[in-house]
Parts: sequence; structure tokens; C-alpha cells
Amino acid sequence: MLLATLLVGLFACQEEPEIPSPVIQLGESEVVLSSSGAAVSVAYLVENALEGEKISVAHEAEWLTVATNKVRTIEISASENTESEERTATITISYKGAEDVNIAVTQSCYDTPLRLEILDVTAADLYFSVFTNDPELTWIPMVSSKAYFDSQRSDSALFDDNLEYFAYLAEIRDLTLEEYLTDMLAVGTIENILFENLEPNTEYVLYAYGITPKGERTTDVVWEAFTTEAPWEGDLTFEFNVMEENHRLFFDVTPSHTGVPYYFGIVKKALVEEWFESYNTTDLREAIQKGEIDANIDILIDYEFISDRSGFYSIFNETGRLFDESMACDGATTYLFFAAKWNENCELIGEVSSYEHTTLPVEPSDNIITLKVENITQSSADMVTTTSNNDPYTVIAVESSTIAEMDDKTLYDYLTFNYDYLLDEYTFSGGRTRTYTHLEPNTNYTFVAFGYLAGTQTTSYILREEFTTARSDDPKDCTFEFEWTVDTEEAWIKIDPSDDGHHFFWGIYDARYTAQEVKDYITDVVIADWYEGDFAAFASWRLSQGTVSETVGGLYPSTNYKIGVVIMDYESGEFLTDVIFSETFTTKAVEYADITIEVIFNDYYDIQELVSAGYRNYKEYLQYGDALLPATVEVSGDYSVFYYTVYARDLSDPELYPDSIFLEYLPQDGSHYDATLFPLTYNEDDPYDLEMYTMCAVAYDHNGKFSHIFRRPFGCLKGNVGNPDNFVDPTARNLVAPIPEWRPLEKFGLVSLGAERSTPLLPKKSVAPAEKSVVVGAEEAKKESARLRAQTQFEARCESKNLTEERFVVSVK
Amino acid sequence: MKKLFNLLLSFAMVALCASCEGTPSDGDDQKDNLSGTISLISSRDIIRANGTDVATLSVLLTDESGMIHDISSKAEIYTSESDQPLGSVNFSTTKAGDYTLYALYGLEVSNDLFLKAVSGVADTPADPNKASTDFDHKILLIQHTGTACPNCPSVMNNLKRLAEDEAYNSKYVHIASHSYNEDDGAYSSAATILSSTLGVHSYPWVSFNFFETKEFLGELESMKSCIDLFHEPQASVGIAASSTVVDGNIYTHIELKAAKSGIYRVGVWVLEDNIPGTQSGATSSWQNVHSNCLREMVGNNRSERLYGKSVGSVEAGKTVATILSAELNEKWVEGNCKLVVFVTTEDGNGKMELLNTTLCPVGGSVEYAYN
Repeated sequence: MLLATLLVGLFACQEEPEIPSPVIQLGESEVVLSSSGAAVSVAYLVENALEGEKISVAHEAEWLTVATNKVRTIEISASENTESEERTATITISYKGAEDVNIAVTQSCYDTPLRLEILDVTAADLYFSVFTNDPELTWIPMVSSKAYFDSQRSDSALFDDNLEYFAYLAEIRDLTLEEYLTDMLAVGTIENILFENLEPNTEYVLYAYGITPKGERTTDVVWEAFTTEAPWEGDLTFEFNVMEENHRLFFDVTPSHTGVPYYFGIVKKALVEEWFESYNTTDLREAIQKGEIDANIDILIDYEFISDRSGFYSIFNETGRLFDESMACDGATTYLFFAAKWNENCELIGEVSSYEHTTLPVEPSDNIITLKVENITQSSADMVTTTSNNDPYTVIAVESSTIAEMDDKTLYDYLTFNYDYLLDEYTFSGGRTRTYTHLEPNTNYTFVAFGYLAGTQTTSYILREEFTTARSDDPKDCTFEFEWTVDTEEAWIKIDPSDDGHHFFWGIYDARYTAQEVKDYITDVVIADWYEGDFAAFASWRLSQGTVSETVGGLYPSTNYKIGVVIMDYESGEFLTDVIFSETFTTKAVEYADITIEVIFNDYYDIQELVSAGYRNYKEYLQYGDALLPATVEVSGDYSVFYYTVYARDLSDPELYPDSIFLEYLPQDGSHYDATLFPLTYNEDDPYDLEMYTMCAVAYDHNGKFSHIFRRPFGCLKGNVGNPDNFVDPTARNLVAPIPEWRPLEKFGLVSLGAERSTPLLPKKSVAPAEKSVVVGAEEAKKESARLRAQTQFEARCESKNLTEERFVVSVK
Repeated sequence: MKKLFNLLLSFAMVALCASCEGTPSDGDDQKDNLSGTISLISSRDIIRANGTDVATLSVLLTDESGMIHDISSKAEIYTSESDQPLGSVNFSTTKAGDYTLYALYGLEVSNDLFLKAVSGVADTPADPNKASTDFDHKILLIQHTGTACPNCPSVMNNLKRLAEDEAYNSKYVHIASHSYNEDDGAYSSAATILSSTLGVHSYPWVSFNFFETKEFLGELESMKSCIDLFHEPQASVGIAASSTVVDGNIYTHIELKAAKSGIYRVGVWVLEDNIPGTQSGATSSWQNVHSNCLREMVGNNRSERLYGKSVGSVEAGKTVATILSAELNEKWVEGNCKLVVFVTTEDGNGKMELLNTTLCPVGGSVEYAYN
């Protein structure tokens, strides 16, 4: 049967050969192309293939390319899909005699993780959008100078540099890198981002990359170069947007063109009227120039916040929009917002744009305030208040004679005019007891109390409570009791006079001080030097009344001290008594660390000779001195840090110059490098001065204990310089900081001796009493108020200024 | 009877096959049960177009479980120039040019593999002592520096003294990695990669091999101590190399001979001598001319650039050859360029260990150095 079957089979073949149809098999029937269109290969196989036949492919998509050049391979590629939607096509593969087969092609939509789009560039502003495919992608936008960007050799180099910069920014904010990045990173697509304060006419690059909060880069760097426009040369106009809430003004200022320097201010309109009158003008620009700008410059220079007009310009100059600024305001008061183009000399050169805003009136308060005076001494009194609610109120002590004839309105005007900013410091809420000090003995005072909010009297009444301070006796009959508890470097002291009415100066003095030396010190150093002879200022800040109880620092261990007190006339400055000393007390001894420090140094070298001998770059040291002294440190023992430097003068006598002096100054002045070059100056006046300098050093252990002070005096004479051939710079290892622009000179191991030599080494240091905390004089109050106003403005502006960097992180939050 | 049955069955099968014979399939399906994605890899990126230099190809299949199977003997490998499969896993040619290869395995197609065949690349020098594996050992001494670094001349002075010390100068290859300031004529991105990889955070700084040193080692005695520490009496690999400049590329033909069996990587860095640049803090005029400056590290990625390209496993006493190429930058002075050729291996802890290194002039050669 089997044989029969086979025979039938053979016979059948011979009669009618049966040729199976070709069949196309594909490795893939569906392919997905990336948006960039990278090629994908699909293998195929034709079963029952025919001699000489090849497959053919067909499709209708213009964006698709299909090739069959390779053996049994269909290569499919596409142009980049820049659309936001995916697209599809069908490729039909045909073969003679075979059934067609299809490959379904899908190309995904634009999938670059990050895409930048610059919307607009002005002289100072950049508007841009960042698009992300992944809404969860975290990224950071940066703007840098083009030069900086071009200097980065690769994405990695740029990123590494940025990461180092982020670490620096985190460090100065006392944050970890992760905390900083978490705060700064943007997430997902953000459109219409504004970056301000660019320099006009400058080439920049905007770039961004994906980055995780841990500082790992997740995408390539994408970037767009742009150039800011030239600055607007015409005048500026300004728009002011002002809102008021809870007695605070919130405002935006928008200049017509950014990138142009301008000055902006807010002032009460009443003050502007005063300026008009004072300067005999109706010109707003002139009034602002004189009343606001020039006057503030004078005050800030006077208080040494700035040294000249350029300092004011650098702090107060604006070039961009001011967003979401705010300030406290008085109620029912008209404020003038103004801005105008100005120049680097702080001169307004454009028309002043201004905007008036009158604040809402302050609601009256029904607070019922009671006042009681207790514990009256020669110099102080307790003010005890009760209130019926928590509405704010002000209590201030004034001499009764000053306000005796004033009705409430006149009194209010007097207080607000003279005390102005200070009133806020005397404004409280709820009942309380407060001690007012620095009162004069045997004097009539009045506590004045009234509801006060936003520069407005809110109660319908002004309370007055009069009292008279106790009478003082003859200063010479005043005795003092002293108490103290000492440590190594500080002491708690208490000075208790028998008569609280007298003004006295107190200090802690070296035990060897005589009464006359104390008086000389007060007169020649404190008043003459510290207060430049202004006794009124000295008396206001330095004279005490009543019991003094303070912890005083800055003392030296194992040192004998005594407290010295002398009563002075508050008006004339006359010493009314001799200096009264406490008994001598000794600060605790120090337990030294088990460390020995020695500074190794020998020859110093003439800098000119070194330059001539080939050390050409050492000529930069000439600005610091005549000669260089190489020094290295040897420390034995387990130390944590050491400091050493050269001080002028022979400081080798520990009796004259106790170790404790160096403990204060060496950590500030000293080098902490293993090796240091010290520039020295020859003593031209005394060629035989062999002890004009002292090398001083100290080391600390891990518990903060310090070693004995190393001190070795030496001279610096031109005739004794070393041979340049023997010069070896030992400071090579001192160079720190990988980022060039952040390298301060000190980090190169060069410590400017100019600074050290000018450091005052007080031969005998006295400790002055703490400054006063309460001011009651009207003149002082006015002056102090003006200072506070200027200082407040100054500090607010300073905080808002950024440092100039090569690249900026763009804040998107 | 059973014999007869089998005979008839055989006959019948032959008859059936003969009856259905047509033209051969467009592709010979040799695929067995394996399925997955296939990839084509090569032992070499560059071969010499001399008909004998060979790149050994492998076709690997990764199945769904992630297991990798070597299917080189079952797959077909083609060049884009021919419809005929290679018929071998070895590719050689006498025609210089760029080649694209791919593999087919059933209905799977591999990636494109690009190979370069180059004419004119010199032979490596003949082995002067074929029976020996007692190789001389050299370490890398890397000076991290820059012309704006005012304290770097002190280390330059120390390096000069070290180079003059015959007890030490044959034990190391000196590389100056100018990564400090970008306006340094010897500055390079390769140097910044090297310095950052080695954890350099202050200058001057000195590193040895691939060790991230934690303390300053630029003092003469420190450097000598480190050389004493790192230098071995015998290297575990020997290096012979020649270099040829062809069409603006430096081709470095390297032969590695193993004293110990291992899996090795071979790297090439380009150095340039005599680069002028005023040195901050210079104490002598010679410090204004900089040599051994790292210009480029050869490789397709950071790992290859730093630690070399894998040449696979090499048995003790055996050799393996490879060619690495670098573009000759037009800013470099060809006559001042030379190559650091080195061999690395992984130390078992995931870190790369430098086993030996040598210097090869561009356009010149270096033979195996035996003790």
C-alpha cells in the first residue's frame, strides 16, 4: 500500500508538477520610528521564491524612505517629525505570485526632551519658553555670556562647571546641593519666561538641560544664542501699578524701555511740597534731585554707608522692571511714586514720571489704655499699661516741660515730627510693663500714650501720666558695689551704684591701670578717637545710669583685671569723681593643648633681585613690600588648625604682650597654609633695628584648646637679604580653588603684610560698656530717625542687588 | 522486510524532494528555535587593507530572557557591497575604505557595523625576544598644571630634577595635563576630563596612574616615593606599537603581549611637546615652553578615552593587535606630537588599573621593552 502510494505520487508529479505559491514572511509587520526618523531594518524571507524575482515596496508617505538594497532587508527611515502628533503610513511589499504583505509604520511626534524658543529680546530682557515632552522632567535654564558658553568644550564640561557653580550657590545659602536644586529646578513646559537685567548690545546664550535634584544631567544641553539690542537713547516713561492692603503698598514699576539706568522713589507728597518750598522751585525733577537724591547721598556718606555718589548709584540704580515690591505706609496719606532716567553721577536727566496714591484712612481704635508709673528711681521708671484690646499703641517718655503747653494735636505733631521712625520702636500691643531708663534725676517726665497705626493716631485721646524722678545726692557720696564671676575669656560683672541718678563710665581694665590712666584713656581714646570729640554722642551711647549687669567677653586668660567707674557730667563731660576701682580679679588660666608649633624661616630676599634673577612674576609682590620671607610651619601633636603671621614690632615679651592678644588676632590675620611668603618692608630709618618684626604662631587641637604662642622677633635690613640663587618658594601647595575668577589673592599663600602691620595691637585693652538702648532726647531722636530711614532704604536696596557672574541661573519660580 | 521498508521510504523522500525542487529560497532558513534580537560586533574597528589583517566578527542573539547566544556560525554576515554572505566570521580586505556589515538570522536583521580598512599602516616592530615575557614596567606620572598657575613652576622644577635622576627617569611616562586655565595654549578638553576624573581640586597637583590622590605629591621626594610604590620590577603585559599618519589621521598599530592571562584594554593618548606659553611664577625661561602636554585621548566614549578600548581576553604568552586612530588636529605640530600607549585591566573592584605604558613617536615605533 505504501509502495502504491509512492508510485501514485511519482506518477502525479510527472503528469502535472505542482508549484507552491511564493509567500512573503516579515520579521516585523509594525515598526515605530523615532521622531528624528532614524532608520529601522526589517528582515524578510520569501518562501518558494522564483528565479530572478525581487520584492517591490510601495507607500504613499512623502516623509518615508524605504530601501531594499541589502540582502533580505527592508530599510525604513523618515524625515524628522517636528509636529506635535505622530504620523502613520503603510508599506506594501509585493512579490510576483505572492500575496502582498504590509508593514505599518508609525513615527512618534517630536520627542526632544527639551526645546527652547526665544520669544523676544530687548536691550535688557529675554522672553523665552521651554517645552518638555515629559511633564515631569526637571530642568534648569541658564543665561551666560556667549564667550563663556563658547569656552566650554563640551556639554559635559559646561555641566561640570555649572554643577560647581550650583554647589557654590548652595554653599553661600547654607543649603545642600540637593536642597538648592530642588528649589531652583523647573518642571515640565513653562512658557513666556522673562529674564531681566541683561547688558545691552551683548552676545548671550540661553541654554537648558534636564537635571535631577541630585545633580545628575538627564538630557543634552539645548541652547540658543541671542544678542541684546542697543540701549534706548531716548527718554523713559514709566507705568506704576499700585495696590494697597493692610496698610502696605504693593507696587510694580515698568519702564518704557529696559536696560536704561533710572532712579525710582516713593515719597509723601507733603514732603515734596516741602522740597518745593525749601528749594524755591516748582520743578519736580529739581525737587527730587535735591530733596531726595542729594540729601540721601549726604546722609549715607555721613553715616559711612557709602563713600561717594558712585556708591549710591550702584545701589539705587535700576534698569529693569520692579515687580511685587512693597512698603509700609501711613494711612490717609498721599504718596508720590516717581522715576526718571539718571546718569552715573546720580543726576536726573530725564522727565520725571510720577503717580499719586492716597492711602486708605486708618480705622479708629476704641482701645482703652490705662497708664501707671511705678519704681521711680533717679534714672528710671516702670511704665505699666493695661489695654481693652490688642490694637497697637505707642508709649513714649518726654520731659514734661517740653510738652506742658501743648494740646493733643500739637503734641501728636511734635512727636511724629521728631520721633518719626522711632515711634514704631515704642509701639506695643496689649498690656505690659516696660522700664524706661536714662532719665535725669529730679526731673519731671510725662509718659504719653495713644493708639497708633500706620502713622495715624487711632484713639481719640492722648494719655499723659506725669512723674518726677528721684533726686540725686552729691556724686562724691555715691558708692559702688561690684560683683563678678570670671571664666578664661569672659566675666559676668555687676555694678550697683548707691545713687541711680548719676551718669558714669565703666570699663574693665588691666589691673595695673591707674586712675589717671583711665581718665586719659576715656578722654584721649574713647572720646577723642572713637567719637571724634563729640561728647554728646559719647554721653548718649557710653554713659550708664543705675545698675549695670552684663557679661563681658574679650578678656584674656590668667590676666588681672579690675572694674573702674567714674561719674561724669552728662552735659560738660567733666569728671565728677575720681575713678573708683573694684578689687582685682584674675581670669581663669588656660589649659594648653599638647601641641608645639614652630615657624621655620631664615633668609628673606629682595623682590627686585628675585625679579632680576628670573622670578619675573614676583614683581607683583612689590606692591606689598621690599622683600619676601619664605616660611614653613612644623607642628607636633594632633592639631586641627594653625595660624601664623608676621607682626610689626618686637612682641616677644609675654608680659607686655600676653598670649591672649594673639589668640584674638592670629585666627583673623594668620596664614593657615603649610608654607607662606611674607612680604616685608625694610626699616630705612633704623638700619640697626634687628627686632622690627615678630613671627607669631598658634595651633589648636580638635577640642579648641590652643598651643603656647610661638613668637620670634627678627629684623629686615636691606644689607642682610639672602642670595636669590638660594631662594626656594615653598608655597606651591597653597594654591586652592579650581575656578579662576574665585581665587582671592590670599589663597595663593601670599598674606599681605600691609594689613598685618596696620592691625592695632592694643597694648592694654579696656572693655567699654554696652551701648544704650533707649533714646529720649528729641534732637537725638530726630537724627536717629533720619539715620534709620536712610539705613532702611539702603539695606533694602542692597539685599535686592545681585553679584555679577559669568552665568546666571534663571529663576522660574 | 523492515530494511526494504526503509529503503522504499528513503526513495520516496528523495522523490518527493525532487518533485518539489524549484529555484532556491530567497534566503536559506537555517534558523533553529532561538528568537530574539541580534547584534553584530567586531574585534576591531580598523584593519589594515592588506588581505591578511582580520577583524573577527560575532553575531550575538539576545533572547527574551536576556540570555545571549553566540549564533555566529548560524547567521549570515553581509557587507553592503555584496549580495553574497561572507561565509566566515573573519573579515579582511585588500581594498581600503569604509565598510558596512550586517547580519541576518532568519527574520532578524542586525545593526550596521562600520569597519575601516586602511592602507599604509606600518607593522609593529618585530619582537626582539619572542620567548620572553619579562617586560619592563612604566607608570604614568600626571602633572596637573596651567600657565596661569603661579605655583606650578615649583613642581616643574621638581619634575625636571626627577627627569634628570637616572634611578627614576626610566620608570615613568610624564604627562602634563594643562587643565588650569583655558587661555593656556596647551589646554585641552582631554586634560580637563583627565584632571576632573582624577579628582584634582587644586593646582599644582600630581597623580600617578589612575589613582585619585588625596594629598599633594609634587615634592621631589614625594614623587620618588610614589614611583617606588607603583613601579613593578616586571610588567604583566608588554607593548609594541607603530604609528602612521594617513589622510590626516594618526593610526596607532598596537600589539599587546601578555605575561599573564587577562582581559585587557588598550589606550592611546596624544601628547605634544614644545608648546610656548608664558608661565606664571616662572623661575626660568625653559618653563615658558611646555612639553608632554595632553592633547587628545583616543576613543568613542569617555570610558574608552580614559581607559582604552577592549581587546578581550589574552592568554599568557599570546599577542593581540589592534589599531586606534585619532584625527591629527591642524593646530598641533605633527613633528612635536607623540603617543602614550597603555594597557589597562579591571582590578576586580570595578576600578581600572594601568598595567604598563610606553611612548611612541608619531610616525615612529616602539618595540617591546624587556628587562
